[in-house]
Amino acid sequence: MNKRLLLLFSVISIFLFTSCFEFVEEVTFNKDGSGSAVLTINLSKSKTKLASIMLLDSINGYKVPSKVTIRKKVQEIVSKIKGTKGVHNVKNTLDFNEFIVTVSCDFDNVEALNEVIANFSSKKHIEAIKKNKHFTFNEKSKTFTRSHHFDLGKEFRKTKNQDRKVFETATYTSVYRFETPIKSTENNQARISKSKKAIMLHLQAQDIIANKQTIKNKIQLEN
Amino acid sequence: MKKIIATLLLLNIFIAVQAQKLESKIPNNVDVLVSANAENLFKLIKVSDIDESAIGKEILKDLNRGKNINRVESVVESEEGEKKEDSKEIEERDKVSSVANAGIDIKSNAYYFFSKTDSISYHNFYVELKDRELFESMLSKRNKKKIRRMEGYNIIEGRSDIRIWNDDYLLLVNGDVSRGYFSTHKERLDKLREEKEFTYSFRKRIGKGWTKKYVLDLFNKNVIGSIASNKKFQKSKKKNASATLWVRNYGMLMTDLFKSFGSSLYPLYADVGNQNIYGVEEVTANLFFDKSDARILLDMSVSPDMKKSFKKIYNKRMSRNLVNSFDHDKALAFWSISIDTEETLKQYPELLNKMYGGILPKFQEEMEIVGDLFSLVIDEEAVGRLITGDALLVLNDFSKEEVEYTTYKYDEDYKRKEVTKTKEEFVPDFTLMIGSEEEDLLNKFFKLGEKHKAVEIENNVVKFKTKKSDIPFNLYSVVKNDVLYLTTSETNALSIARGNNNFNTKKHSKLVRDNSTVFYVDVNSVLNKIPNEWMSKSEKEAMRFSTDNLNDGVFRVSRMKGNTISSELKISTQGTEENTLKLLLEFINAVAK
Repeated sequence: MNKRLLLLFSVISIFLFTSCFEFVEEVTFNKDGSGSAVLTINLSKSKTKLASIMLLDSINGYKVPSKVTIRKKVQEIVSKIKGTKGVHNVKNTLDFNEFIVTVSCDFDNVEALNEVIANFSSKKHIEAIKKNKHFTFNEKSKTFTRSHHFDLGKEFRKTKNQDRKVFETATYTSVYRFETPIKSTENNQARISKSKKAIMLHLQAQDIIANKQTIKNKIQLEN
Repeated sequence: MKKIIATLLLLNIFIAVQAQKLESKIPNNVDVLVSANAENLFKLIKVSDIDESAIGKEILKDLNRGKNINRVESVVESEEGEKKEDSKEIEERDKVSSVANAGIDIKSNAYYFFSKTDSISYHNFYVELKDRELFESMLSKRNKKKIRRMEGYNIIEGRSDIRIWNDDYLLLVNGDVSRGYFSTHKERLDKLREEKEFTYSFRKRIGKGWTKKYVLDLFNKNVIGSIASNKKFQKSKKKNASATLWVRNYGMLMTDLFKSFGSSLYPLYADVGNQNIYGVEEVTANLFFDKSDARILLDMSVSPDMKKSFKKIYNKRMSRNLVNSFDHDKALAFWSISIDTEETLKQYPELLNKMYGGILPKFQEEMEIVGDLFSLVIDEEAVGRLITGDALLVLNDFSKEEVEYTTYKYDEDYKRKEVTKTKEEFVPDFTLMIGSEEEDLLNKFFKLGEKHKAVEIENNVVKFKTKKSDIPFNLYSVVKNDVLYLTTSETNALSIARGNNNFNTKKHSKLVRDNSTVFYVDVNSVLNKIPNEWMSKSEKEAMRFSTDNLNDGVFRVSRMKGNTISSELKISTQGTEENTLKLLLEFINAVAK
């Protein structure tokens, strides 16, 4: 079938669907502070739209990358993570049928995770990260904190109006698992599991952007 | 400067009673001319309609902004309290309350024209003044200082533009030198160059000199043979048109423009000579705002040597088999093209020769051989049978389709599990029809596809095995009555294959068969099918406005009549307003809110 025609109808389709995606962060800790992390970005709910976009050269003024380019980019990210000290067993999956990307790794301590984030940041941000670490785990006081160094709402307001729509229905989920039961949590949106060994935070990206909710949390474990 | 251009441009749209007055001042040799017909425009709207519209308010705000600055300055400059009050009062009184009170006579025609020589091109705006002093008071303080009062005219020389006016007229000219001319005449022109002068400044200085001479001649001398006596231009102005565009010779204009960019940018066109590269000569366009439609009518005349070829290609009527294959009353949109493939292929070598042979005169013989080889290899008649040149694409509907997707479920210990859910998505339901007299050949193709498991054939309907991740809809094909159908609807495909269609085919038959191309959109039906939950406020407002006021939009290109191809863009409305110009102002008001 005529490729141009396909494109025409794909473009029409794009305007009919709104995009949806899930961002899932899972971290499992061992007693000594080491552990494993899995990051998942699931765009399956928007797969028809994305399949259509993949047929285009550009959208909203952005160049649409080819599958090859995306694979290459993911590989670059993975090898950068692999090069980080204290990080092992880095794996990734990339599913173009369901549009799901995962990256997983084991780490010696949470500092290694902060290092991974710093590796993808500018010099200015690296300084900020040092002051405001994304992950800390204090073995003595048995506390785990999740934070970030930037104002998401502010960053978001810098983007173009039409680009913001992408985040309208996106969700963020974090699950942290510990070997010791959880005593308390500072973020009141987070829910502790029945076994008390896992905690989940499920938020709408919209609320994070509007600064109504935050992914920041301080978790106190039992002694 | 920006302010003046913007104001002039906008006023240009709303402008004329003594039509011939300014036309006698515009030389006959201009290449492009746009005239805004004030008489026709003010039959449709009142000045107050403009003042109260979002555009009018914007212009007034802009005009008064300069005033405010003056006021602040006068307040600061005065020392005594009394004086302050005085200046404030005067300024309040001076505040412009109507676009008609900016010194420019908006009730007379306004003109934009483009003229050029081999060395420079000029953009010109010409308007009539009602009140010179008022106009001058609108200028910025900086510009006021630049005014030079000469005998019979006043002039401001800007960086690349010149403004010149007297009590009756205002002319604004922007000159643009031809890079091509400077490189061709480098040796001669370089003698005029000052020591250490950069190329850019040199060109600018020379260009400014040319522009000034041009402006003074144009403004002060009597024009011998103006466009007022140009029969072609006068004929191009249609009755009741609110604005008219006239292009003397489109093909030549493009040739010259390419040449003026210089051979470094367009080497292909450097030696083109005086060849009309597109074969299109005079172009005229007229804009109409009627009671229940707004239209742009564009006429293109084709050069005599291309006319024969164009006529053979475009003078074909679409086969009724296609026109009768969809329900005209239900179609949300369609696009039709009808050209004669066999003739196109036969004319192609000649067109190739005329277009490129002219551009590349050194390769004239090569071009001819390419053309001859083309004819030798291609069996025009056979290709013309396979693809007749009729094509019709119809958007029937948008249908909902269940789509599966992967998401996650968490157990009580927040262990993640992948689950499949379904959601509804909108997919376009369309039919593409392509005229073809080679049913046997097409069927052989499909049989081959079936053998290689690319398609399935059942009840004479071919189903394409498409992956959902590649395209979001199913695709079916049927070959019948010299038409190859491709459709997303299985029901549609089956009814075509059985031949039991019972469509209403009256509404668009004439439109499609009388034109070589038609693009039709039933605006409201399409908009109403689109879920609006994610639309922004202004998008929703535009949609509400459309539902309340619009009907459909049609773009069509006629077959050739004489040596002319006409096209028309027409937006039909529900006639809720007095006329469509008023409606346009309202639309802008609604969206600008």
